[in-house]
Amino acid sequence: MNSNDSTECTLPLNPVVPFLRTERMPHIWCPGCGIGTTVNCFARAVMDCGIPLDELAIVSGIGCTGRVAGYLKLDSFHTTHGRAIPFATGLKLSNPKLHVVVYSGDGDLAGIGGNHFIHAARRNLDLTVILVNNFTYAMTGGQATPTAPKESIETTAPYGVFEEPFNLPHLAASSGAVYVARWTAYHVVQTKKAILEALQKKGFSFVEILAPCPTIYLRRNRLGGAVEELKYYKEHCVIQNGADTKDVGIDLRHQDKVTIGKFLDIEKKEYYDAYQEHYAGLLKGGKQAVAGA
Amino acid sequence: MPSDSGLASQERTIVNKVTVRFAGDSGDGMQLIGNLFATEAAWMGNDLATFPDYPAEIRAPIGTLNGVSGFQLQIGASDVYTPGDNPDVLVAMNPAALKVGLKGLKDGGIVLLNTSSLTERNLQKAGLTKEDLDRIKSSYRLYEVEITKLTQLAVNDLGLTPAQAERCKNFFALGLISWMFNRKIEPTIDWIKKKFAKNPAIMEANEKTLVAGYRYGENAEIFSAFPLYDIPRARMNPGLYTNLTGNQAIAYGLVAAAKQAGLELFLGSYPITPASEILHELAKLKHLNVVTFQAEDEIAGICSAIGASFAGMIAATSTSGPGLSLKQEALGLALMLEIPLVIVDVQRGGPSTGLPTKTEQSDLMQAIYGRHGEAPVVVLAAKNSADCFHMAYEAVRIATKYMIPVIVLSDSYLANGSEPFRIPSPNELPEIKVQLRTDPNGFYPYLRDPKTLARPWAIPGTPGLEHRIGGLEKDSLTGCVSYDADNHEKMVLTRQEKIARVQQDIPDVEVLGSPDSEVALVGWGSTFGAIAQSVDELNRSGIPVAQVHLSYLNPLPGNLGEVLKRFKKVIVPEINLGQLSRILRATYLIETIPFNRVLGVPIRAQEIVEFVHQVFEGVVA
Repeated sequence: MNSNDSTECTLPLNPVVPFLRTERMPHIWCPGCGIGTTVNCFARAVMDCGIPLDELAIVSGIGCTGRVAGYLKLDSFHTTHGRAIPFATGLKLSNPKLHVVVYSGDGDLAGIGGNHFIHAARRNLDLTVILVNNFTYAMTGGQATPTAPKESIETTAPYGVFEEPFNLPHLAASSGAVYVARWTAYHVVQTKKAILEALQKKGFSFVEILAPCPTIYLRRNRLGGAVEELKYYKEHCVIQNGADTKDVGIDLRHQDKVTIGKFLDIEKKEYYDAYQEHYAGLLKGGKQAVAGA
Repeated sequence: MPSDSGLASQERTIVNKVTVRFAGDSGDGMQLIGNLFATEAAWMGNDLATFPDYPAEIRAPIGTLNGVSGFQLQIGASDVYTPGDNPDVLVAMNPAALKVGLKGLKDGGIVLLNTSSLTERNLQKAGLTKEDLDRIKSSYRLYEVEITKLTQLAVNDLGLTPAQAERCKNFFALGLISWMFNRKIEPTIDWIKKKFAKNPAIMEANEKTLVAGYRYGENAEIFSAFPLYDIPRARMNPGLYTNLTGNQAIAYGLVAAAKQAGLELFLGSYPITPASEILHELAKLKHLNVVTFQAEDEIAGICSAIGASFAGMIAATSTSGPGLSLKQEALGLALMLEIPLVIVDVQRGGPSTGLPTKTEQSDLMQAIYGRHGEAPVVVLAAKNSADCFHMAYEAVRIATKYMIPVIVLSDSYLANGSEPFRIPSPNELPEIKVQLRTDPNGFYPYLRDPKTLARPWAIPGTPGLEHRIGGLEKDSLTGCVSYDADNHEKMVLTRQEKIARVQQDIPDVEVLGSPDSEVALVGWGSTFGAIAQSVDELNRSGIPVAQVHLSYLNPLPGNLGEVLKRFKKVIVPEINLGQLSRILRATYLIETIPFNRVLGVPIRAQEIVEFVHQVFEGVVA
């Protein structure tokens, strides 16, 4: 920005503004919510990765994180509950040049969308899945999600959650993902870097971001506000790149640490490449052959 | 605490009914004080109906029009059918709430405005100017009260942070409104004491603010000429009453039915607005041996319920429109298996994600016809929040007696709205007799009761009754897989006949209003109140109309065809594009006049009255 000639004090434009639909602001996220932080990280990753904006599409499901698609100035698709990945699959297979990002929450992607999640990972479809994990169905009113820590209070678990939560990095890795990382809304630099790497990775890449939900989850569990949760992550997160994903489950009530980091970054044949190869003899000038050429 | 003695000397204007709308930011506690005001009114014996109207987002942007959370209620001394068409009073906590709330406010209505919120930024967000405020002042009875500031003064000495102090401001508004309409604040004080028992500072702050609001009314200069109102007790059947929302009523109806059947209740559900509270409510009732299972998705919700039913539990699943779509395949299976199952659909604005917190009646066709194959199910609909109890109960009764799935339709308006519910004693409720088969002699899985065509409910683990059930077509006696063409036709017809025979078990429709008139208003579900009120008004003004309300949508009541043919004109108000209207036309070959609104809010009685006038004037035919 060139302001040499001006004596007026002008605020510099936030560098992520060009990626946002500012006319949709103010956004619907509560004060202290971690989702906005992740969007900032995402926008900065997009800025750095050099993917032209018209080759990038974002698909969201339902819920607070599901609203991300609505605030990004990209081709975006706000779909039905839990089905962001199948919609993204269709988008990707029809236009393999497109970078397709799925951006949704733990209830949406790991609950009702859990089946789609494991199958997209199994196929190693070239998607970047960003999952913001706030341990609750926030917009729907605070029900337990499959990641809800044991003993936490949720509207559907007034006596505390007793079910085992998902260890999502392990789920993704064991289902076939090629890139798996977990960061938090406190670790913004690392989160941005992880999203950047995930965008550049060919195959199913998965980034879990732990983020505070002060209005629903923290308040119901009397865990303080967003600042307290970020402080907790600052003090209790252990960065362990390359950790065995089976050891990174979160049990906030019984162990006082959360393992974060880049857990997996491997090479494996991607779905569309495998498709091309498998049908090489049959694909003659059809849409698939052209698109993949 | 304000005492009666202080008020006795002041003259009160007796009003029969009053409609109040509380409006503020989502997070201002409007739903809370709305419910508490309803409790105060119920405590004083008023009849009432409430309508919470809030954004889909948990915390929509502060101060914006989208973020306005409203709670409307009508309290009265005689039958209150609806939360009121046009409020008499608007409580507006900020300019956005003022702007949104004024829509529909009666001319010359009372506006209680929190002037502490009139910052330039807030006015700008609401798109209001100073001139607009002047206009409002001339058209309505505007009372400008610095609610936020007065609240802070009231709790000054309690050592709260400014944010904590400000959060009490809703209680100031409630105190003031309670004063205006002479409702006692004791129930609210009780509630505050219980709710904040562990936090004495907050407890004291809220109580002090509430009383300060009440006292402000008594003492402030601007209210010196205020005509105090009073609403006498309503005449209601004696008994023990509680205030229930539709979702709570559904939960309790299911529990009561399971108890009556001598079985335990299972609910397999997935979170979905506006049905989630049914799952929340039942999750609290573990001490009644209620099993709740929060499934991983809608399909797992219904499938787990089908499994529980197979195992001999009273099984239900609750959802809203998008979830019902997902459950349809499994619903077909439940029909094929011929086992009892209750599916509660709390309808919302559709299609797709649509308007999750708004009301609509657009799932009727989906409920009756929404499956592949010839797959009829019984469909019932609740007419008000209290009726949700009875319809959930009735669904269990029919499902277990006929061994079939039953859908109960509610909607967002009934689910969140509340009204006084008289708690029935068990012997007032219809009998639910469940006979789990144990006798292996002469047992065939599809051997039918000659009257109901129900097959025996034989649960796994019963010696000698081992049998298979599944989705493939069944032999009409043994239940073994059968691809036989004649058998398939026989089974399709039998399943249809079974649903049809439910008609023998349901009451005939009654004609309310003016039975000898030439015009009938036919409705179903939550429009009951608005239609009843409009029929009432029309008849009073000398326009004879009748009301026919359908609680049973499939099968329809046995006398309905004959009843409808008595009328020259059949008007069908619905919050959809005419779904019942089409069914009536197709079933009885009669003309109907649909009256449709899909605004996400209940139809207002006034709209129906105006439409009927148009019909009488020949504008609409």
